[in-house]
Amino acid sequence: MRKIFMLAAANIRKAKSQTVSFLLIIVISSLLLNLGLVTMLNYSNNFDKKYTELNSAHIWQVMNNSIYKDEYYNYVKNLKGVTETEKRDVLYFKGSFTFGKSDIEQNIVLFDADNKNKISKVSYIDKLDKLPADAIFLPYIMKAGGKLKLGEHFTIERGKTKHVFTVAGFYEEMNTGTINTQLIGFILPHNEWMELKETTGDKLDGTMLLSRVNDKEQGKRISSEIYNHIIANLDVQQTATIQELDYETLKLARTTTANMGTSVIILFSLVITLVSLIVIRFRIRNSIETDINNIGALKAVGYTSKQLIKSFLVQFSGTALLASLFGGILSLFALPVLKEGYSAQTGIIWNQGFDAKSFIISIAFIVLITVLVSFQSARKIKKLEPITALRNGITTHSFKRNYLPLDKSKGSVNYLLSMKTMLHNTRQNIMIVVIIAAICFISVFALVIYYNMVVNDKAFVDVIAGEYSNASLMLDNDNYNSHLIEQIGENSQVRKVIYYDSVSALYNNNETFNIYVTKDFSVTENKKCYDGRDPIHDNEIALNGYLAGNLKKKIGDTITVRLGKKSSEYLITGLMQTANGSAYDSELTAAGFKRICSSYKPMNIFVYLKKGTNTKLFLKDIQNEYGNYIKSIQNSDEMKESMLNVFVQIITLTAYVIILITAAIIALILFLVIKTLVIRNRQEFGIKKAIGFTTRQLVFQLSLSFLPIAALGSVIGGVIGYLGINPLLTIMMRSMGIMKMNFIIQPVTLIILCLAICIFTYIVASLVSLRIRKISAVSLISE
Amino acid sequence: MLMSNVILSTTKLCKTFSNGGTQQHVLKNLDLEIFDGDFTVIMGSSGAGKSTLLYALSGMDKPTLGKINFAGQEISGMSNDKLAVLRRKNCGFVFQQVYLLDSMSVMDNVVAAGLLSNKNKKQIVQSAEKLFSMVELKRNDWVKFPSQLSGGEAQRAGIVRALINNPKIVFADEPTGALNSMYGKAVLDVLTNVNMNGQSIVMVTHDLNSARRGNRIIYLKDGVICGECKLGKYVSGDRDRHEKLRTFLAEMGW
Repeated sequence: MRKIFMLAAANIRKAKSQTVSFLLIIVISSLLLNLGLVTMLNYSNNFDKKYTELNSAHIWQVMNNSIYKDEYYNYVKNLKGVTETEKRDVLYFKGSFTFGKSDIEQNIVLFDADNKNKISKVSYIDKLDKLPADAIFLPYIMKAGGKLKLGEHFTIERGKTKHVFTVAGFYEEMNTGTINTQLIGFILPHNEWMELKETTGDKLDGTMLLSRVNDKEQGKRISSEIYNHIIANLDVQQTATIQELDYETLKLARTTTANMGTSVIILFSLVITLVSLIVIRFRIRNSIETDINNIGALKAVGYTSKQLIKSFLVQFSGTALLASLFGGILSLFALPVLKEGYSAQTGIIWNQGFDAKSFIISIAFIVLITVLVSFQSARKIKKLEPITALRNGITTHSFKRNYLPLDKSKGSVNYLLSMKTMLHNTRQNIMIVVIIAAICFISVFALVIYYNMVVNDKAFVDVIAGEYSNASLMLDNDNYNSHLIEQIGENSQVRKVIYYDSVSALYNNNETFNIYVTKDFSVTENKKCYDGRDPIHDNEIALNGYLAGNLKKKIGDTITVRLGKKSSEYLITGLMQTANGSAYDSELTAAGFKRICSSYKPMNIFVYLKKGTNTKLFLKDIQNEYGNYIKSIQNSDEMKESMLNVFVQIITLTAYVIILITAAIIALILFLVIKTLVIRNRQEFGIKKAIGFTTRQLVFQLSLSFLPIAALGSVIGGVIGYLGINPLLTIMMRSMGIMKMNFIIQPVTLIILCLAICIFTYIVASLVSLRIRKISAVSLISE
Repeated sequence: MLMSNVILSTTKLCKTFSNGGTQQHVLKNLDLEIFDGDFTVIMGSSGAGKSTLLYALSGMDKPTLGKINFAGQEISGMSNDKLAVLRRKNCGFVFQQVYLLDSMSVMDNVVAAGLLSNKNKKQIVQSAEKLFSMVELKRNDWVKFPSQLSGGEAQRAGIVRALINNPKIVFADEPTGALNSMYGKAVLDVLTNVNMNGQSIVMVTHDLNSARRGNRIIYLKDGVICGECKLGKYVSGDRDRHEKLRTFLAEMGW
């Protein structure tokens, strides 16, 4: 055994730089594989784990006490499938607050800290030792994503009233601890809560019903049933003030962005692992081929094939074990960055430490693959006679075809020789093409996501947010001004203004879905129909493609929609997509909606501003001029910015990391390949130098020979990316209601990326092949 | 006796190799002149420094100390790339192991070398065809890979490559060392013809029959020149010439 270790150590010493580059690739691969596995095996469970820990509600409704009746509580409690129900007194209103750098308007629930919750418990993370008189406890998302700190001021604006608090703590709560739904909750100490309740009279008094069900998959159906029961005797304006949500919708809202991030990490780790496997195979095969003389000599002096095979196994599996251990340990340092990123998006802490399972799987996988590949490559030693080996017995090349004969082909000698070099290395070329294609695809993926979420987020916002304008105004039902839309439309800063309402109704008699209502869908800016068309006539409806699929409905079929006691049948004219209603949504014209709600009057105005208009200042003017008719104003630009901001940072970071790793992998692969080529073809370079080729010419020939390979690989990766990214994203986001992802993939960006990969390949190849310079012609020949 | 211009000269040429801390002085203060049009043969026992001298003279290896002058140009301090340019224009090489590029056909091996100093491909191909005829290499061998040729054919192909740029000087390192007598004679005949046409040849050899082709024999021992024999131009069957060489080599202890 000692001899085997000695041989392995000697092999490593002989190829130090190649061992280091091999080591680095395995370190990167193991690091990413471990991160990918940790994320895949643990992160997706984190939401449910926390949900169970905090005994969070599967369905919940919140409404003002002007609507609430005790009968609702009893109804919910006795409903089949509901296992636990809790009624909570809350303060409930529409208000705005600052999140990050943006103002967000949302339905706000203020909880009393003294509530003894059995359902939807709260887990405090940070708390001031001494509570100030104006203390407020905020959900963790406000710290992780909103970057608020203990002791800082936090202001909630309610109409013209400002409530200023001091941040006294942060907590985790599953149901209302997010900015990604229409409802956010804050906690006030009992005295403050009571004081606010008293000063506001009964205006803010509300009730929240929280329930757990025995089958959370049924949550949405049960929630619809409750909602249907509550709205039975309400008018549409009252209905609009009720907030209701269920487990599935919440999970989607809170984890979608993070899930996209994890998908990228997992995909990237898989590609890098694949690349590493190819490199491991290449490195081992070449090592044996270049060592063939030594193998012959060792066999001649009495080493057995078994001993020699074992020495290769020890050499490579030992290196792989060491590198993968190191990569695994490094991943522990990278994990906090990932955890922080995920927490900032979801508002849920991911307490993930060392995960033995992922650690062992990633190391075992890499070492096992290395052993298998080493064995597969090394076993040919068995058949090799010492004398054959000493005569360079394994022919690494058997030249059958003289590509590009110099006397007949056009082009300079350097160009032709580089093409010849390229054409004679098919096996190696295939490997490089596959590797470059794979990492180019990943880079395209990262760039496309970066472009569509950071540079030009329209496509992303279109699918996530549905119809989107610069600002939206909610009209005051008590002081309704039906001419407000025309009046605002006359403002010189306004490009367009439309009514756009989102209301809940029922399909199939008992399932809730969203209906987007507007007068004329042809003037909306986000064309949500990917198949068929938007409704035009009052008997037409466009249905979310995912929902239509579940209902086995297609264009031309009909669907019955009910609101309260009125129902009507509509013809499906189009299939639409948006993640806004979590796949459960549809479109009706105002005339169409009136068939089930004759009292309908538009409540929301979407305002599209001219380019260069300051939305904040514009809304200030609108508030001053028409404030009496408006219940609330939303700066959608700011809202969008704040929602995307955290994600933007993560995506930017991910894109940079992916590009960096792509560059590192290309550099390492080229280093390995060129080093091997230079060693294998030392004599050829020597002969060329002897007959008068300069180092510069040889470097040029070698570097140029990689250019078509890099170009082919990057074009393949780019084309797969161009054609495959939207379908891939669609598959990933189908359950959210996205049936046809339309991320913008700019051909120019792809061309630039492909060119960058080619140029980078050429530069790295030139730098690595410069080692030819150090060796004189005679030493190359006399090798 | 040929009286020609000096094409290549060395002044106090030294070459030392380091091997694990041990210094091995292979060439020691060597002064030598190679004349234009000569067929110079370098002989000596194993380890005398013959090949080292040949590679230093040809600019393939750099001396440790001393100067080398090639056609009036000091080359010992030149960069590797400048030396490569010098070699491609002025030197041809014939090696014992031939060293044709395995991945290319015989014709490609020749054209690749030719294209280094002449961009006119047509002209190079024509020259190559002439040279192939001269060395009696058949047309169907031109498209073969080196591994498909016999030793003699490969060596003749190597000579064509060495001559394609019409070099001033051809360096040959044991060109017949790996060939049987028949192939060896053919190769030597080619080199003799080349020399007859006015090109200089510097050849390292162990073989008496090969050495007979030279008009000047330099004998090297432990890195120094210990003797020189001038024979006239080679004439087949000249017994006196042969005897003179034998006597010289016997004096040198060969």
